[in-house]
Amino acid sequence: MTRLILLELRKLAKPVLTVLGLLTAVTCVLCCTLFRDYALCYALDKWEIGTEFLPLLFPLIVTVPVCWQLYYERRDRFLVYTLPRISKGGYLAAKWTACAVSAFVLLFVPYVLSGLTALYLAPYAELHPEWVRPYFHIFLTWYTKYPLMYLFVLSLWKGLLGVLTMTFGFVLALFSSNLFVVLTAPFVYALLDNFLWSALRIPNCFLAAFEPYKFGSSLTVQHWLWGPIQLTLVICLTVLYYTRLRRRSIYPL
Amino acid sequence: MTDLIAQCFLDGVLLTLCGLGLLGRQRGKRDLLLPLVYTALCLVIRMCFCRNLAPAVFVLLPADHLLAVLYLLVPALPLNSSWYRTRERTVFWGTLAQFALFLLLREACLLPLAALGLSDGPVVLYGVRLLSPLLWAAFAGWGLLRWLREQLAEEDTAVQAVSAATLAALLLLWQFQVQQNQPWLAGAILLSLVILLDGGLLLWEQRRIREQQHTRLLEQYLPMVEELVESVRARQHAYRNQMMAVSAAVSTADSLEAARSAVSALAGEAVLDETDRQLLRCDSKLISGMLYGKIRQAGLRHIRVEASLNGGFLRRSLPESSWVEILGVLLDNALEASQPDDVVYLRTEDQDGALRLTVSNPCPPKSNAELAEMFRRGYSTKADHGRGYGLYNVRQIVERAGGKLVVRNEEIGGASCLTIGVILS
Repeated sequence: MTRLILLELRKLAKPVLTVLGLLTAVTCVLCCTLFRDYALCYALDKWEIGTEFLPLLFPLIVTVPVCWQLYYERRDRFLVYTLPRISKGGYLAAKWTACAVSAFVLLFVPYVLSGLTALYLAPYAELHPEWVRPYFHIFLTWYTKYPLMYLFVLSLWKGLLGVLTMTFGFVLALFSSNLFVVLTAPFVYALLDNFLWSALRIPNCFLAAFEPYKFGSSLTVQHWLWGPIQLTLVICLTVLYYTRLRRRSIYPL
Repeated sequence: MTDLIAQCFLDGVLLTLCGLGLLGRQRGKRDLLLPLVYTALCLVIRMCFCRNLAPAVFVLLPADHLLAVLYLLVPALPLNSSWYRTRERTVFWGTLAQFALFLLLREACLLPLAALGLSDGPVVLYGVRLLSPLLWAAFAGWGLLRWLREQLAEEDTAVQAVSAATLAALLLLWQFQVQQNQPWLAGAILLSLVILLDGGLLLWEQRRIREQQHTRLLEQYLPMVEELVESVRARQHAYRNQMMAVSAAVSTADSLEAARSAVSALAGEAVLDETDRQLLRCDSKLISGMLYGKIRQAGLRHIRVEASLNGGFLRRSLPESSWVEILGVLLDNALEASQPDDVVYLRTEDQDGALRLTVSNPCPPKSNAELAEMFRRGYSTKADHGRGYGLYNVRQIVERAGGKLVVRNEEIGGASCLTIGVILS
């Protein structure tokens, strides 16, 4: 199984490493430059400013380089040819693991490296914690006193949410016959989810879970968890829709 | 609200027109629903994802910042993919080209108005939106959209690159205009540069494709010309021998009568075939090679082709490759409609500075309605699918070159014939 996962990872290596390299470079550069127009309170502000564009684009970042391959494997009937060698569940589990590792790395590495850049390599900027009173930030103690810990934990969390988002694309790649639906549905879902919950003025959306500091003191643990739970429900409903209502098969014969 | 809906509807209509122009009409009357879908998309983007509510900001695009353009572009991909049902790469590049064309049309309509001092108000808001579909119609009329659609369908790399680069350049220009409150002069200069660059690249690409096609046709038909020349050389060799025989017959004849009868008996065999003579007179090696191949093909089916070539193909409004296409379609149709022992007539002649090319084959007389119907796309006398594009393509080529089609019932050598041809300057 481990060898199969490594094989699948190798198949994904080229697009994933390309996007990873580009994204890491862009986020590191932005963390070193964008903060100049802002008043900073703490060192990690540079990181939050430099990575501000990522929450809007991350569904595309974790889906596009990863899920297209599964779609083509299914369309070109490669999946069917794996049947004599490995069980359906075995192959799909290995595939999902490889995709999940890729999606996790695609978010975790740029976030961590750009955070380290913001903390240790970015040009010096004066910090004025006294300018904003009262200062609210999620995990405030970690944010101000243990920035490395904060950086690592939040990047880990974002990486896990990336895996969940990728799973939505993965499920669509298993059933959908339209590549663009597979690649863009998680992005469109995040947009609609953000819009609908914003219209109701409840910070329940998936984006709130991804960027918890943006939602200030109104965010509670329930709000934070609701986004991922809702996406999990959507993924389950998608599977049910395709298997029960549309009667689609993952392995077309 | 009415204004917002009206503006989004006009945006949706133009987006649909650009999509249809570049990706092709797919669903007949159901295509009429597409503007409504795009209208809804534009409405959602403007109402939910745009912070600026001033209508003047949305004259060029139904978005006020680059991310909102992404929100517009990303749902357009699955929409176009499920609507047009073409290859994924074509949809991707076609969608980029669709947005590039949309912005290009809008910019081209906005800048003249801005130059006249109109930068705001209903004249600009609706003027630009109403003028751009007219400009689209002009592009479609010139055949530019059809050419782009064909190249996109063939996954032409240069056209794909030009589409993406144009979209990027126009988005930068748009961003600049939105931020700087639409400076028309800078915009006009940048837009002219983009159009010049695009035009140059597309012309270069068109030329490259034509040369490639010409080379391909040369590779296909030059061996046939060589075969024709070889057969003429062989006959020339025989001709020389026959001339020696004539000379000997004259010098050894006892009387004038005997010499006359000997010469006439020998000269009968030394005549060059009329069709070969006509083919050798043709000014285009490519066309004579192609005709030689078709005539031999007809000969295998016991159909005789009588060629009379009295006009040149070169230095006309059409390149050789288009003449080859026209001749190929007309001759193939005539041969398919003929029976063994029939005669097909191919004639070319100069007519008031234009070349008149006609191909006639035996056929019962047809009514005017039937004659007109033959040039419709998909018309075929055969039941097979995928037929009926030959004469339609000929019509398209002739219309693009500003020529005329010839189609009529004729009587040649006592037999009723159908004559189809073209007149091109």
